Amino acid sequence: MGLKGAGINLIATLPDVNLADLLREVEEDRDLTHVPLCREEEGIGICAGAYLVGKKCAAIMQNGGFFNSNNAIVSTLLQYQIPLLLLIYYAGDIGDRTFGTTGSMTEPVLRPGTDQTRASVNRRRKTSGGASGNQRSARPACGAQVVVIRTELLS
Amino acid sequence: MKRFDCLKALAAVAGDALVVSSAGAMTLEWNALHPSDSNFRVRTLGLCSSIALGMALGLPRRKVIALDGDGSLLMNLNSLATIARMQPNNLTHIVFDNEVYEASGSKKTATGTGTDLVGVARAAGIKNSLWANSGEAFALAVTSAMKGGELCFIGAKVSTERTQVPPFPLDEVENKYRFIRHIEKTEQIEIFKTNLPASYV
Repeated sequence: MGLKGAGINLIATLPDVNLADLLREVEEDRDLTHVPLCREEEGIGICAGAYLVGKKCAAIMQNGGFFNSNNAIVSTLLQYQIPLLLLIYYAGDIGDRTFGTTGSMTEPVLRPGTDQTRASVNRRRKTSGGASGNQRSARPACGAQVVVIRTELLS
Repeated sequence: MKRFDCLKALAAVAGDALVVSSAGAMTLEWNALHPSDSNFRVRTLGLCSSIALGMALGLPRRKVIALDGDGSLLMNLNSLATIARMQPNNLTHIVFDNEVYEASGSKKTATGTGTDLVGVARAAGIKNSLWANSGEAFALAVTSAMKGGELCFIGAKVSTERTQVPPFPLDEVENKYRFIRHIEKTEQIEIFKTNLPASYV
């Protein structure tokens, strides 16, 4: 599993039917500490706590769960500069009408936290704030790295 | 009961336990009584119990104490079910229940209208859940929690009385660095990698 290769040893999850195979692998892997969640936001706390004592963590959830987690992502991960890998299933992606609204809001909410958008934020600031302004605006985004899993990746 | 007196009793037995506390007057009182780099202050309301669970799972041989409030725990009741599911035997979850959102204007919480947090914890699956109804009972409960090897949940009804203590001396990032450095030192592990140029090594 690539996650293990990256040194991940604790994974918090909340199921999505499209992630079933991945979650089964996580569940069956004896080398991983697997924490099944009741609500995604608690997973952000669990991963932050485990990071503080030396674990390398990932959280796997659907994008609805990512919305659920936003206060913790902002006021724990970003505020304390705690890194966490978030693997988010993209419900409501193009062609999926069942979760269309959730899908349509996913990228706008994600945008300020991703590398791609950090770059675009920096570009915009360059004209007014100078280099130090860019660094300040980019720094808080160091907390979370997000990988959005599109359906075609799973098929 | 007065929260400050309970915290005094805890400070006497906490030893080298890691202490995660929900932001507010309680954190300031605890830090004044037991200043240590093993203290971690939580800024996200509700997340105290979950952060403590993550620490307890990450370091199963180290005692971890969560100092929670009623308003905070009410926001993350599901964490009790997850804690019960994981059963970390090194975690002690303490809730000081003053029945108000103390830091937000002292409006009544749901425990003020009858919600029983110890009952909720027990029903969630934390068997060793109890109300400490006096200062002596609290001291006894935390002493046995620190000596024993079992997951436990201790509730204490306290007054809204605050003790005048200095402000918390660290910002969030400094709190994180000092806490992690403390873990590295006391557990003899490396958490932060030091990237030095090859010529320095």
